[in-house]
Amino acid sequence: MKPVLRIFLSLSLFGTLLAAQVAGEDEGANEAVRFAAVEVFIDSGEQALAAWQFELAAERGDVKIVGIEGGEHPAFKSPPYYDPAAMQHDRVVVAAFNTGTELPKGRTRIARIHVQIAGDVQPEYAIRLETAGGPDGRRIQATVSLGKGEEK
Amino acid sequence: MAEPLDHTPDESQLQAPKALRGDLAALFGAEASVPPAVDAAVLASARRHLAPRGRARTAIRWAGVAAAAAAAILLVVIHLGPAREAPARVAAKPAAAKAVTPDRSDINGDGRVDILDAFLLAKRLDTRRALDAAWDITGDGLVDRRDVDALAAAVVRLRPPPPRDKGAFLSPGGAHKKVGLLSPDGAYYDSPGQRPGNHGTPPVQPCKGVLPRNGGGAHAAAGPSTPLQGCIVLGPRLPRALPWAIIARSFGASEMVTESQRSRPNLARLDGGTVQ
Repeated sequence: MKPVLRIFLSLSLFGTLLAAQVAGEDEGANEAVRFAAVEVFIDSGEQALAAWQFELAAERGDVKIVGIEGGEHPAFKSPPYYDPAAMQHDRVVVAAFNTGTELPKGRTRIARIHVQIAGDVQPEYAIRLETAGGPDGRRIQATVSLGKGEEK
Repeated sequence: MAEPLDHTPDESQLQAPKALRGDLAALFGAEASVPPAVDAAVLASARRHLAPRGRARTAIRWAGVAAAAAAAILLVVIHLGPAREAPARVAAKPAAAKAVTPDRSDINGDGRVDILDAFLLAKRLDTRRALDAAWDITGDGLVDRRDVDALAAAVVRLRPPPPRDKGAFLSPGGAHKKVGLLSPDGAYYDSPGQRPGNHGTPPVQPCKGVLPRNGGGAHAAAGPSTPLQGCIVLGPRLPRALPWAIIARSFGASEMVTESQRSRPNLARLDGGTVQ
């Protein structure tokens, strides 16, 4: 093979690979990425809520957890406990407690999970309340629910 | 220069006076004669007196030898024997601080370790109630707020989710939920839970077939003679150089056994360990 032809073929191959890579990057750039907040509520009825623990997982969609903040009530306004390893993943266990006496009752937002969503698939989440406790440390009946927060 | 004169007489020429020599001989020259009977009695008495001390000395000497031997054995035991235990002791401390064992962390004794245990420990600290030394989660010798935080961090720690049966979609016709892969290099990748001998249909006979390359996805194209007893065969036409262990793992397979080991009970894990 002539050297000129060899160089030409090499350049052509290189150009093709480069074009394919650039196209791939463009495709990735075009993929819609947005941020949203998932709000987590607990309803403990008439009982004061002193501690809670839940597990949230994205069942559908390309979701990455990017931030976790506390709830609306002063007792749970501080950031809750969570595993930092959950960041950039689609599953997290979150928990918090308050040993004070000013505790929320009824339905209250206990946490807000910030997520990054890629793609057009509408995310679906599964949440499981692992435990909820009253001021005496005993388990109490409570229900957990999700609310859709702000989306950007 | 003239040398000084030496007036000191030669020692060989020194002689004591005769009278002095006689007196000295009278004082020191003659030995007192001791009768043999007296000598023997004194000797026997001395032996009687010294014998117990000699036995004690012997006993002390042997005790010393024994103590030295015991010390040597102890040193050997300390330096060699516990060498296997020492890392465990060292490792046990951080492990105790990181991995919270359920029994010591179950503060409320309900058989579960969750945020309520951390809450209860925090309340006990707040109210200065009696604390159990076993609640020293961090292993620093104190039961304090750090133990509460360590316990809370432990309960929210992400654990790997239960393995999903990814192999199910590989099963031809959906007849078998768990499948394995037989790669071209003869390695059989077993799906979770499958072991030869403890599941119903172990793929004892070599399977034949080819994984389709043209849009067939992961569905197996089984030949007519393929005994697809819950296994998927990757035929010899596929390159051996592919990372079959990774491919098998992506299908949910957790264990690998080579063709020669398939009838044997021990399996080699993909991570290199062995299970019996």
